[in-house]
Amino acid sequence: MPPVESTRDAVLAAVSGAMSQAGREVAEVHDSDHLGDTLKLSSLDFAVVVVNLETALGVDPFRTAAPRVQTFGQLVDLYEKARVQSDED
Amino acid sequence: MNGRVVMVSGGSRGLGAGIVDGLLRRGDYVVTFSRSKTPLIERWESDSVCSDRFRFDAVDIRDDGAMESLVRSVKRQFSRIDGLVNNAGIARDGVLALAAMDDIDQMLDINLRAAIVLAKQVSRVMLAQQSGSIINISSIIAERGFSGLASYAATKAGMLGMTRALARELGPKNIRVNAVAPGYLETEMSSGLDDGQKSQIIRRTPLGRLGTVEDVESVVDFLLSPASRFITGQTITVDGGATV
Repeated sequence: MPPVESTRDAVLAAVSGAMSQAGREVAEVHDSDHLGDTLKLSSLDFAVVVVNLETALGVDPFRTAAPRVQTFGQLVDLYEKARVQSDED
Repeated sequence: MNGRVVMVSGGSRGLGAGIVDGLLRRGDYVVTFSRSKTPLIERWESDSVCSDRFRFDAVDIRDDGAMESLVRSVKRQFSRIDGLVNNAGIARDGVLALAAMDDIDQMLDINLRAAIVLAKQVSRVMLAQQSGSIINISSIIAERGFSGLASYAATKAGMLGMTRALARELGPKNIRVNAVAPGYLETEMSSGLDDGQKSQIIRRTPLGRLGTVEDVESVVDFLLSPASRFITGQTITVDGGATV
């Protein structure tokens, strides 16, 4: 079982890690930051975020669907809901 | 842990078995799967030299859920997957106008769809580790065509398209994707050729013989190795020059 940690912290770590791997400076990240336009994550960077979050949190909300997510805050919200759903299942 | 961790689809017989055997001899950790065990699988499982580096799972490659579970299980067991060889394939020959729909569906499902699904699952592991090599086993028939093998040729040509697109997609994360296109090999799949057909192929082959599984396995090994670190999106034809 993945260690239990704050969803927000896990998403922030995954996004920061992907930005760092892509050679981008990791500044403060806000809920309203656009994943592409503001944080400059490519679609492939985003895929890395998703696979790393699956390892960290044990859930993948993109597994069977392709929910529309544009901002960091929406991504946190998506994973919080996925964890709740996973606990209920 | 020394040695690469490589998944090979359809490694219980023919070319796939030759690839598994070569990788095991080179000291790699090899996971292969097919619907049922063969005596060769049982031999590797009981071989004191390589049994601890060999894993076989009896699964149907058309079962998406089983493939996802297998890849997750391999990741848990070895912590990484360095290579994927998409080898599983079937060939049903005959005039397309008379082909059974089941045969067409099976070739599309096993040769092409399953290869794409497996690449999807394994690429998730490779994205996390930011490295990997995917090798799609195509065929010279993908480019040259062959009477009676329209569906088979379509699936093998599809693999080349997948190879090039995925190479562009995954290259930025240090994951390489290449294809190997063998010509006629001395395997079960060529056993249906009569002596006259074999002689004709050999006459048209500059290197003067049919290929062997070792000829292909050594190219797979090269594409898995750091020696090919700047090669991606390519197709290496292994046919003794028959299609020159």
